[in-house]
Amino acid sequence: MIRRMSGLSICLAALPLVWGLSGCGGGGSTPKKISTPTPPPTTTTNTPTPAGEKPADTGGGAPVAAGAEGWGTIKGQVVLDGEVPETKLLVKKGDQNAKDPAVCAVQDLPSEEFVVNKESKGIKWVLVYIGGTPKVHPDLAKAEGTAELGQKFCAFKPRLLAMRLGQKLLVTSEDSIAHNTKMDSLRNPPDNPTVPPAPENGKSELAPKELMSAELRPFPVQCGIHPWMRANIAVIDHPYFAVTDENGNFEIKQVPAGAQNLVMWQEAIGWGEGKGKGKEITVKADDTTDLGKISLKLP
Amino acid sequence: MPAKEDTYRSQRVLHIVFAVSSVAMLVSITWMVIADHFREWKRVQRDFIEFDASKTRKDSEEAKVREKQRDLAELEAELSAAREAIAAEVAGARDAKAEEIGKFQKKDQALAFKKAERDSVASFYDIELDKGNEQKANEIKDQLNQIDSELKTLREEHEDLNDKIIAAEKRIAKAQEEDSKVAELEKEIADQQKEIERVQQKQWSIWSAIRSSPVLDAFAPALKIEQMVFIDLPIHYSFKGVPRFDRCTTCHKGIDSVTKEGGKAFDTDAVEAHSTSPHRAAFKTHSHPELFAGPNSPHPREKFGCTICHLGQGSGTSFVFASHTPNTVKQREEWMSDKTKDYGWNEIHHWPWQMSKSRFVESGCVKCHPHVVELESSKYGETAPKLLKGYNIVRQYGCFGCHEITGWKPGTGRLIGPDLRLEPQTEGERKKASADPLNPPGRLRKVGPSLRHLAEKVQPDWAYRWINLPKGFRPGTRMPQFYGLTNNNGKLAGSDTADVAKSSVELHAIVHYLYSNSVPSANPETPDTVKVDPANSEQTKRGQDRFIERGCLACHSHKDVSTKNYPQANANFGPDLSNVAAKLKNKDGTPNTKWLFNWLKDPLVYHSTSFMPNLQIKDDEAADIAAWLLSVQGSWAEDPGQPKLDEKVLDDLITMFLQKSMTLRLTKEVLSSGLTEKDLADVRGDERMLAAPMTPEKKLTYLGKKTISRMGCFGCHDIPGFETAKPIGTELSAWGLKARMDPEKLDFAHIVEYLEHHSTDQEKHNPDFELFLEGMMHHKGESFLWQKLRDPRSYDFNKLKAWDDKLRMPRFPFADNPEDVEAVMTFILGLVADDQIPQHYRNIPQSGAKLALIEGEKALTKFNCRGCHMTKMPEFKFDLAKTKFPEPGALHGADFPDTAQDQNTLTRKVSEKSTGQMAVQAMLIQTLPSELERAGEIPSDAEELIVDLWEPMRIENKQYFIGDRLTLPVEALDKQQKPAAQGGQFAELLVSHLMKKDRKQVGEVWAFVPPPLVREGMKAQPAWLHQFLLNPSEIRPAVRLRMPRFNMTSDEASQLAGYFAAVDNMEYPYEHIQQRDDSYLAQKESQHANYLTDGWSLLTFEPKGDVPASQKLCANCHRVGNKAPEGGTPDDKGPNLVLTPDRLRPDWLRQWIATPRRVLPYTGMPNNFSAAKDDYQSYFRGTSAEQVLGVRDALMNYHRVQQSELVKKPSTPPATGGN
Repeated sequence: MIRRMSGLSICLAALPLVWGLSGCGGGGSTPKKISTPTPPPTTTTNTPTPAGEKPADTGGGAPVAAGAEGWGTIKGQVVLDGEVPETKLLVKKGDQNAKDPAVCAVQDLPSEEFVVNKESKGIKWVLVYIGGTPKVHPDLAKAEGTAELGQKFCAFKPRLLAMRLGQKLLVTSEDSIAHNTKMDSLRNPPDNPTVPPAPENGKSELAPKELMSAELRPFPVQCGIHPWMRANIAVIDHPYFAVTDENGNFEIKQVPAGAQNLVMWQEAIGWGEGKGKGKEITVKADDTTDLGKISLKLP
Repeated sequence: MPAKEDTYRSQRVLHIVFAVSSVAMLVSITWMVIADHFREWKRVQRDFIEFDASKTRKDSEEAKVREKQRDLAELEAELSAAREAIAAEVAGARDAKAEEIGKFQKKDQALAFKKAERDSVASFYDIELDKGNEQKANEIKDQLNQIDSELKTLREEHEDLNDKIIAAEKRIAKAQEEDSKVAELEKEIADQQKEIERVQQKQWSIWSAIRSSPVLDAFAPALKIEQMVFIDLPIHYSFKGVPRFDRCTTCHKGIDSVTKEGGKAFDTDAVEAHSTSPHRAAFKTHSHPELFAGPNSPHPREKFGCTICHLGQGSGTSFVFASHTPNTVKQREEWMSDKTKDYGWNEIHHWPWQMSKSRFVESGCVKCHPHVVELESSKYGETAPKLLKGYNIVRQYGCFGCHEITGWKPGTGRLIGPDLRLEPQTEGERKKASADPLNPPGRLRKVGPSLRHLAEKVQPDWAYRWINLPKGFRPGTRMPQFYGLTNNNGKLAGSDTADVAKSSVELHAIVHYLYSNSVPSANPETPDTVKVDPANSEQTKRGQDRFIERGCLACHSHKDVSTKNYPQANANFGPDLSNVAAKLKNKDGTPNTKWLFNWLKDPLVYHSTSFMPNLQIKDDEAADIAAWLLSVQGSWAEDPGQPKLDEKVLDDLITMFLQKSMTLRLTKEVLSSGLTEKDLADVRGDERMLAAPMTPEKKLTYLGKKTISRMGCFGCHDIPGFETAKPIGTELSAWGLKARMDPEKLDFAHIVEYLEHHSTDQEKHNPDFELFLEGMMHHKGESFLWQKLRDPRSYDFNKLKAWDDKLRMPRFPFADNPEDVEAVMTFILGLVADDQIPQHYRNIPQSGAKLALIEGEKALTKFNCRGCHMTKMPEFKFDLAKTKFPEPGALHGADFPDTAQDQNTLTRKVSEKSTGQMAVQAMLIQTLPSELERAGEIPSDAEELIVDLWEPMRIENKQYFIGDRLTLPVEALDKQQKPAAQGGQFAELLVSHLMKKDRKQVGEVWAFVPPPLVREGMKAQPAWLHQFLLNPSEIRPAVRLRMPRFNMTSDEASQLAGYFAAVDNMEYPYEHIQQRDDSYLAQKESQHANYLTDGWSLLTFEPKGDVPASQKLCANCHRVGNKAPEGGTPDDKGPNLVLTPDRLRPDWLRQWIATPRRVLPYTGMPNNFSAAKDDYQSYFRGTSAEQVLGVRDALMNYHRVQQSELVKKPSTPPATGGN
């Protein structure tokens, strides 16, 4: 009897042991997956920008970390490789058949789609910026101010407006007729407000607009009433961008030193060398890196 | 004889006999009882009870685990403790209260006495004073003061006690509140108890067994037959209707059990998990219980039963006798041979309404849904796709041209089935039909082109070969094949080589008849200014561009515009045009440019009932397209050839016909010299053509007429001389009834032999072949139909028939596709002409939105509106957990405050979800990283989609509007469902074409193509829409093609206008435009002087004061009154605003003017009035919202304002008399 009982009690004692053993070891949890870094984040910081200086922006391209500590300046000149094409004339001065001749035909209106300086062959209105999400200099940490897209004599000024995410977009007009600005942005909600006629010797302004997200490439702006009026707006989420002047020159200050990607875009040409990712350059710390003449070709 | 002791028979033997017979009787009675008692359905019900109990137990266990972790007993103990405490508290409070009340009452009394005492002492004071006893009076005064102080004390004590009582009452109230919470908890526990009890109850217990034992089961059996009785849904026995008794739910007990959310209570997983019964397939809930059988569905089980849709023997209570029919051979073998499954199935032969095979179950819908088109709705989706496909095939291929399908019960005006009949062809028929309201006329046009003017279109040799083998020229044609089939190709038994010669002669005769009776159409000669030159490569290049841009691809296809480059270029509403150059030739072999040019300019001149619309294109455009079409080399895929006419066979055939009415001798005479005057007097009908003198032409014409009459070509084509000819085929209105009730009326001939010996091996291995062949052997009507559609003439196999007795039904191209054949079978098997179902069971709306939706849907498919226009944007289904949308506030900064409300009225329904999957209509703008090459397509390497919402949606409490730009990660999209629009293939094609050609963006280009008709009812006034459909005029200057003028009647236009209004639940047919009421205008005028003219001035910016005249707002792009926008191209112009008051509905117009993007996301019209700032005050003083209303009201009163403007500006004074 006792023998049997002890046998029984051994079995009974063994049971919880067996249960316990089976309980452990089960349910191995898989380690948490590390998410791959996604293309440039859309959040941004503000930098104080003096009027005229256009901060760089990020478009497509892999994130690039700043190498050594140090900040440099890059400059260069974008020139055309090939024949300088004829500039189209959109509206001839005094042409009464044009729309709203009293305002739009006050002067000759050449097309600004592809402006090349005859002597230096420098291309105007080229957007140059550092690709990816470079480290931002603490002085330029905050994006401030407004970027203004103006309209005068039925032309947008500037043709290419590069702005930093965080700045406000201000659309103005000095023309005494109505314009509308159809902004076909991609990630940002498109908008198409009418700009009322400007008062005598004054300016008509729309409410400043805060943009939600950086854009992968500059988006077109067009006036529906005067369809020849076009412009492009680039929205970049860091300050390292510039638009070339009449001679194709550009300069970007306080760029993180080391290996960077330089992306170029022009309305008629499209992307430059390296497409949306950009071409690789090295930025020298505490020095000016002169990239020399960068030539682009028409497609 | 003396009495004997022996009995007549030996007692012993009798005892044995008695014993044996008693035992035998006992055994047989027991056997009877057992056999009668142990029915199949009882076994099934028991299994179901076990299944249900098991499932409920599992569910309630899960519920317990979900709700509480604690033990029920523990909870109960806690609960009772809480209860006790509360009770004690209440009791205590009550006691306290009672005590205090006792004290209070005593104090009350004391107070009252004291007061009385004071009063009496006071009166004594007065008495003493009266008496003059001052000293006594003072004593009394002191006494009085003492009494007063005592009174005061008493009062204080009184109030104290009152407070105490109030406190006690508060305690009681609080305790009662606690009590109610406890009561809730108790209720929850009670529910749990009930669940457990229910489970226990459901289980099979000893008590259930007793209740179900023989004899006792008469009283309260646990297992009983469930029967539904439908007196008003009788079983249709042709001449009689017998009330229907459905006992299906005896075994299918769970068929309508739904969960709280309306889904299936017993789905396949639950059934497999909780039951091992061989009959467990019967426990499942009906599929789509929200639509069929469920308590909240349109077809609840209690009202409809089962057999009305599924057929079968409803009164059967066993698997076999319910007439379950296997759907495939495999299923049949499972049911028959697998004994362990306990089905032991065999077919029952004496029940005509055998249950539909599950592949044909949709045929049961037809008798109550005679209109058929409503079976695809926005509410329930595609409810009967196979049936709808079959219906559409019948409609497109024109079966009704030979086979009448009459849905009206003659002489009653009741619709008892689908009505597919040809419309009246002559004026006389039309008059007769419209005179009799109880016999409405048919409404369908003949599906083939008119042959009345054939001679000016194609040449006889082409026509010969075409009729011989249509698919040899155009593989995708819908015209069926009449010759070269199994009963006249000379290759099989029942057809000899002479048939081939006869076929050829008949073809010659038909062609001759058509050409000799062809009359010239009213088509004019090509003007001299127009040159159509297929050899001119410049013209043909232009022509190809125009072919793409002018909308031809909405209905037609062409090999040069292949689906490789244009995936949407596969329309087949109209014929494929790749080969037309080989067809349209003049006699001398040159291209028939005249005919094609005229056809493109106005098809109705040649074919008055054509579906091809008048494209409203200019002469040079038509010339270019014609030139290109005729320049593309065309050829026959399979040229059947054209043998010469055999005169002898011609005579033989004519003899065959003449012999029916003439002697052989007369026949011979006629053939050689024709009918004499004397003979003609006795001859009626076609034979009169054969008057003397006889010519080969007359013979051919005569034979041609006879052949066309025989073959019924006029069923699809308008042929001169056959305007009043009747359809030649059997009426199909009750074919489904015949197939089941009277299959002996169908002539099966030697079809089984044919199928067994002359089917290809590939066919034979098809499992469905075996299934239908089996049915054929048993003379099932279903199998007859199957083979009839696949090869109609095969029923003539090995039959010795005279030439004109042979079967005539041609072979249609869809016969090559087994799915199409089954779809048509589904439709035809549903045609049962059941006139015994009461009309209120059927879906036959007589008026209102429901009718408008049905009729409009029919009109839409009739004219192929969806070829150009989208009626629903693509629907994107995505998982909410994987998406992250920005806050609505960030997207709606520029909107007017009441936009949210406007959005709700615009769509009447906002898709709303918190978790799971969301489905919403949107337009694809771009895919990333790839560039968008084809509008509407999502490349395989896309990672993100950028879309514009086309309907508002709400996620949790965040509402998004139409026009919001959102990013959808591709991984969040539902893999099963690709976003596809309903209709609008051509619009997508043209968008992708123009994007490439003009290098523009998606949004810009949509303004140039046929617009989506989403929310058209909200937007357009129905009266205007009706007018527009009958004669489309230009609305938007930017569109690259004009809307064609369709060949529709006023009624059809009304149906379409009503459809759009019904879809959007809008007023129809007239809208009350409040803004024109004097009262409205007076009110507005009182608030704002010169209201209408100020609103008008915003449109045109008339100079006021020193504002320069060059300013304009709306007039920049829109023509307003006499001001046209100058300069620019049509691409930038908007519609002429004179259209607005008649065309647009006022509320839609207001929303449009306020924020156009929130109504039509791709529009180029800007937001003219800013919600943030109030501009243009010099024209219209007021807020932007008021300005919007002002402009809207001025537009709705356009003509009134124009009138007043005219009056203001007097016309120039007449010139004074001058020299």
